[in-house]
Amino acid sequence: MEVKEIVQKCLEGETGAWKMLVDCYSKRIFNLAYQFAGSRQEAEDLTQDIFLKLYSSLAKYDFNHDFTAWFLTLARNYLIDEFRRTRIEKSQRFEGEEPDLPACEDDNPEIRYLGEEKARAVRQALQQLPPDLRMVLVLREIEGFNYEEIASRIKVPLGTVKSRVNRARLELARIILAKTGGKYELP
Amino acid sequence: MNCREVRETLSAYLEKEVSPAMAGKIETHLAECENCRLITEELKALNKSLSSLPEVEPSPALLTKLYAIPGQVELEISPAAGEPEKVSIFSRKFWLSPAFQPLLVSLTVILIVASLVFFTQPGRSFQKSLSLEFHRAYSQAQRVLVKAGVITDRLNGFRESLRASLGSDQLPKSDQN
Repeated sequence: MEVKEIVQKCLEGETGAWKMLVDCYSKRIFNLAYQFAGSRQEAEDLTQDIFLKLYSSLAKYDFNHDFTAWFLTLARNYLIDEFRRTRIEKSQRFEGEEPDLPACEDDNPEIRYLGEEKARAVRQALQQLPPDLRMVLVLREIEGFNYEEIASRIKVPLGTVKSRVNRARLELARIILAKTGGKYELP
Repeated sequence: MNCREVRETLSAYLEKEVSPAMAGKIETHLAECENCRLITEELKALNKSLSSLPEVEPSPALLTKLYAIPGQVELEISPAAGEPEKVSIFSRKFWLSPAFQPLLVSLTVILIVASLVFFTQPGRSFQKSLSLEFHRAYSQAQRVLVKAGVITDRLNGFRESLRASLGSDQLPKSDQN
């Protein structure tokens, strides 16, 4: 069944259709929220809020547009607004929790282990970044937006976005190198 | 270039957004500075790692909550469904509605200013000095008017004496009127 058909059935009040919609998008939205939030619990709360918003905004969806793009924009805007509104996140968010990393495609156990270790280190380092830096880095590196798009979405000057992305990368590198025993001194 | 300058431009350098001259300077520094070289290598590796982070599975408990959303939202909105909500003029919601907010803000400002003027010592002295200034300006205006009257009288006197000395027939016709 096409996603637009599912949406139509949701609007008609079919509970099964809503379940299908959740199955289609929950993983993607949860991962998006996880990257923004930095903790699993907060990501779960945000995911719930986003789906609530989706449910209440579903009637506004224009069937001439791509549903996935529309929903992802709604989710990103919600996360950005929430991020800008609260700004209460602690700078040291990492509490030692380990994400449920999926199995790597690689058959070689050693390479797979190294890949998982690296991914875990990157994710943990990402969670330790200050919220402002993490948000621009997620939008730039994971969501793939250009600097101009980020500046317009989070409503800060272009120069500030560039400098924040640079600082976020340096900080991330510093955290990872410190964990792996590498030397890194900020000038 | 020193280490700080190099690190401030590292992102731009890695994204090839610096001039060839600047890139040359950065590369010269990187060839000499092990610390900056190490960071640059880590940044290159990070770019790949970030874009290929493995996805995390949402918990079954979260999925259960998400599946239950239609029931929750229906329960929350059902009393008002179909008809617009009626808000009483005496209810708090009515007076705190967005349309009344500018009015409430203006009233608050007026009340604050009035209480400052009428019920505080600086406010009273301000009131007193304002009334003094007003009276001073009023009496000054009166003095100016008196002076203007005196000048007019003098001019008239001068005109009369001039007319008497010259004789009324020598004056222009317009003045005789």
